[in-house]
Amino acid sequence: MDKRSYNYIGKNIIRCDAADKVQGRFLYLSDEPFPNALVGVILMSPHANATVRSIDVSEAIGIEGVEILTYLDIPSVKYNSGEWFPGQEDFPDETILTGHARHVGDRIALVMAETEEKARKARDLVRVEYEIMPAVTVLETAADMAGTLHEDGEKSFEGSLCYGDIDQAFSAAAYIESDTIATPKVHHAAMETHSVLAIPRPGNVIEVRTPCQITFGVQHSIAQVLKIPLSKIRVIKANMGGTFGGKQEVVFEVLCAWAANKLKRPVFINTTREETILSTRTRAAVKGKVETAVDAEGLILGRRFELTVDAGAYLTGTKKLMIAMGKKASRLYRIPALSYTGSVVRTSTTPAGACRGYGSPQIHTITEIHTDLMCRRLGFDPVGFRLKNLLKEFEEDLSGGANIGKARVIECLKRGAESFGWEENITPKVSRGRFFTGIGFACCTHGNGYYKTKYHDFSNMSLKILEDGSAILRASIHELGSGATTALAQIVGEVTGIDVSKITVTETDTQFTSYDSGCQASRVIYVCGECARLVSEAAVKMLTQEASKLLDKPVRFSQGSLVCEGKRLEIGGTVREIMKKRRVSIEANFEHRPEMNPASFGVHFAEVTVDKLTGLVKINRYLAVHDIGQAINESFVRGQIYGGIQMGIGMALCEELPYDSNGMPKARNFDKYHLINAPDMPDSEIILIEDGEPGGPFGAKSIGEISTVPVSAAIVNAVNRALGSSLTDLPLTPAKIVEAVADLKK
Amino acid sequence: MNEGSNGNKELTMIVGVIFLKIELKVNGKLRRAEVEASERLIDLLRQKLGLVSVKEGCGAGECGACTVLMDGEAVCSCVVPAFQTDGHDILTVDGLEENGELDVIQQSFIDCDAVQCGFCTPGMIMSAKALLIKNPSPSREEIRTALAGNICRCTGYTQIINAVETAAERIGECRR
Amino acid sequence: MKGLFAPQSIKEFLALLAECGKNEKHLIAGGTDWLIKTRGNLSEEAVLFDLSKMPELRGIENKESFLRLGSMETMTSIHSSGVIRLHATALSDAAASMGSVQIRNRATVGGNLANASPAADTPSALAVLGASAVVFSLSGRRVLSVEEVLGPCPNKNTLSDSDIIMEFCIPLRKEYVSAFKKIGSRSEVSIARVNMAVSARYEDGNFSDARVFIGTLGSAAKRCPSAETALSMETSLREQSFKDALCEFAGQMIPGRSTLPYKKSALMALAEDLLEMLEERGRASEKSGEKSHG
Repeated sequence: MDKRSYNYIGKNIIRCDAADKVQGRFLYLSDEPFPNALVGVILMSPHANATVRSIDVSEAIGIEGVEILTYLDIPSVKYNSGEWFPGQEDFPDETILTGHARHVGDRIALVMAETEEKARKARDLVRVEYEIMPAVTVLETAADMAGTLHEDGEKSFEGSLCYGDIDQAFSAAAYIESDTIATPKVHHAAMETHSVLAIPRPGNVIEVRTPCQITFGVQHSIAQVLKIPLSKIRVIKANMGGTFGGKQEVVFEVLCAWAANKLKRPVFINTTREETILSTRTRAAVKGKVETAVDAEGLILGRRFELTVDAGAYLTGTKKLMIAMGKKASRLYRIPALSYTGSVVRTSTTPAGACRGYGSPQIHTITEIHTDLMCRRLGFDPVGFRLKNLLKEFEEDLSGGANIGKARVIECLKRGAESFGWEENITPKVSRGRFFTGIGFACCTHGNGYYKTKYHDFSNMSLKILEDGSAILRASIHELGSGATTALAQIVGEVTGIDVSKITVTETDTQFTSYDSGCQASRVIYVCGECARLVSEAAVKMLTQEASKLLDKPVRFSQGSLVCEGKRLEIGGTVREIMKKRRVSIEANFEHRPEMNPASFGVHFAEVTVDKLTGLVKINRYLAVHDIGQAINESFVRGQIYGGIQMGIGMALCEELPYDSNGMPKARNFDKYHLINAPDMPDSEIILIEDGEPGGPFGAKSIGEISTVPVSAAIVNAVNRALGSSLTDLPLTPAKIVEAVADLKK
Repeated sequence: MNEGSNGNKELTMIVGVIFLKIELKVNGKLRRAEVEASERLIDLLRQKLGLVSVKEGCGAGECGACTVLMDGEAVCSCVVPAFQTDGHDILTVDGLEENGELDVIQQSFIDCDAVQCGFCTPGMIMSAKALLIKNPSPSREEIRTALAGNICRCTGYTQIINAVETAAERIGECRR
Repeated sequence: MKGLFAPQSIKEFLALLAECGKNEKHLIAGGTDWLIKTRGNLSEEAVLFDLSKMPELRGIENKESFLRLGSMETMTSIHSSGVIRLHATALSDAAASMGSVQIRNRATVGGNLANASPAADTPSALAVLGASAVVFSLSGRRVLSVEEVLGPCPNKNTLSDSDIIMEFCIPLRKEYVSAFKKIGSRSEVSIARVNMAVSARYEDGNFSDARVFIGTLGSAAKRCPSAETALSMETSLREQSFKDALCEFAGQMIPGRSTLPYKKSALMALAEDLLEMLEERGRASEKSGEKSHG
């Protein structure tokens, strides 16, 4: 099909919830108090590593209507919040409440009352005595101190990945270059703080409403701890005020479901910003060494990684993430031999977890900063070096991962370099003595689902064409704000010819929508989108067949219409007749099991001006080039990219969750934790390369996560080029830049 | 302190808690309320008046999600004492529509795809409203400054700034 | 909470103050910092005074020899005031650089001083302009320089909870120029890492009778006499001497502090930027013939 003849694909259809959102009528969980619900607030530990010596709830419980559950009441089952399917065997080290607080913000008790205010007042009356132990805040010594934090005897969680002859590669190398690079612990900063509602329903069903990313994963976690069948847990995805991975792992869901089940009352848990910062999840900080063996011509022979990943207080999905980082290392450049060693340690800080890119921003920031510094030291042109080593279309992933697919990363780099004026602007400029301007870029890749990884990836949907010609796509979608439901409606509309405004796409409800691996792994457009396309085709086929039987004449489907003997049939009328006369409803079901998992690619360019006295960095120009196969909705794609840039600049320059040596968080709200705001955001340019990815709906592939992956490295590379510095400890705060400038002078 | 000696504030005592009676205009309508001393405007709006379009993102005046207009000027309702709104005029996003028609800013936010998760949207629109009341044809830089106190994690602000620019152009066209 | 008063005049305020004796008193201006601090833990003995209904605490007026600035004027009203921009430019700069629009609409100049945050923006500007605060308490009216209000201690000032700042008087000084600038971690909406205010007499490219106040070196505004002397030097020596003096001063104020190297560097940047602003303003006022004032 010629792209230009699409009705909906690539078009800027207005998202279905936009009108409600601009009117303030789109309600989040905390906007709608549930009748007769107890509102719960969590009594959080003020200490980083402490055991509860005693807890006295008598005064608080004396207030009428107050209910308190503490760590003394909980089931002893340990779980891992990053496990989203039975049997994944993520090491369990977390309980829903705890008498051993392992970070400031750890959950000691749940205090409930009919209003949040009353619950907070009651919480202030609970007296807790702690036995304080030393905080674990330094990655390098965390493994040795593990015993003070956890009683399970695990010092660290190791993982490795190796292929090719790494020793041969390094011994044959003309050059061996290495760098040590650190990426920060970052707050997701979804504007909606965390909340969850659990309601006991008849038939021993617990209904949980949560703005989450994997309803079936939430269901699994609750079943595991409460020891009740999956069928008795109904998880409904609630309206979501942003997540960025922060709401991917279960955080308060299990606790809330347990409390509601125990008290036989609806329980709603709400948090403030400080509570969300301290007690939910963060991006995992990573620190480590990358070493590259290169031949005389600048071809990569091999690469070694030795990385330490900070899981925070509990392991969570951080081991998964550490392995994922290693898997991503072989999918950008042709690396004949690779050795990746990762070590996950637990520290007495807020637990890490999934965060937009799931390790990609960390691993590619590390390699792309390293690649630039290496090129500078060896005298290689950073563009030329990369062009030589970047993967070409349909190359194999040498680590054994899925084929790379229709890779367009070389085109991204070439078109970007030309459009950005790379050659013309390569020489740094100095103005008024202290303002240093330089450019930088970074390449990256990210996946499209779980195919050919250790995790299962499939989606099951049904499309029902109704008797008025409208349609419902029953799908387990999690709308995060990215526009996924509208994009899927565009796909359905394109296939069926049904007007997008008449298509409803459901979100996930474990009781009524079919299985889907969840909104993770950048799989939604590539896997769920393709499932939507295929189920639409199945529905159209069914409709055509039924119409043929109804009319006893050949009916075909052409360009969005049912046609019989050259005459166009109206869809609604035809469905009505089929239902009345044939007693058949037009509802097709399809289970899509992807057989491909290609890579998406992006190359970002930045021009920055660094004030060497204030250490402040201004981004003058920014260009993002993405290989996305096909934009389903170009405006949505651009929106993802702009947002990804905002998040990446933060990670490069100012966002971090620092702790003092006692494990006290230095940033507890947005006064100290600064996100990039409007005045500091550049007006970015975007180039989309749309060459159609096989296996994706109309050739589409992922964009939401990858859009933030190359940003930090592009900015850091620009700063390093501007100053001639070798900064590798992110974020590049003003103080670090000023210090680097002082060191350069020496 | 007994009632009557309290300046011009009327106090009532309900189960040991002192409430202040206030009267304010919200979205054009006169409203009366009893508020506690350290009650915030956002609590009054959300809990007592049901205006849940006003979102709480930080509770510290740092994110702007709770922005409303007080006498035409943008304020963070999470750091305004409710009692100080006595006699004042409050406008939330709920009060923007006229005769069932969206405000030009709301329509521009839809048309420019300036909305993603939507949580910052009502506050963002109110900051834009305050700007356009004072300055109907702002530059992109002036828009950035006006929105500096409104944090958005989804959009990178670009489409939001485009939307405010578009709204300003549309207002300009109407006036011509 | 014992009670809340919204007095309409200083006289009424003082009468109410007398009535509430030793009770803990909260004077609430814009309420922003007060709400964040006291929400949920307001003591039962507290008596609150809402200062928002007192006309005497409002107004920006040119009184020939000085500017009168009501303590309840907001950052927005200050930075949008032409009179302030012309005669108290540093204060206009400071008001414009504070917080977001939303915060500037609420934050008052009196509250900013009374709060005693070492990172506050307007106190150093007020101090550099030689402003004095008119303060009322049960013992009557007194006039204190802003420096006297700030006092020597970080995070607290010399006012008691029964003192109310009614207004500021900013002397009008012909042929003087002033400027304020801060460095935070973002270009807008950021707490100052360092801020500085400078005023000086300007003539033919030369400065004299300078005043220099630096914020965030442990308190809201510290006067730096050596930097003032440096500013009066001939132009070829001026900038470097100014920077040297500032850095040395920072070293004396926060010796050994981990933030010192950064603050020194940032002070050098402020020195360059403020000199440029002052020269530009000096030239502009000479050119316009209309001599502006401090």
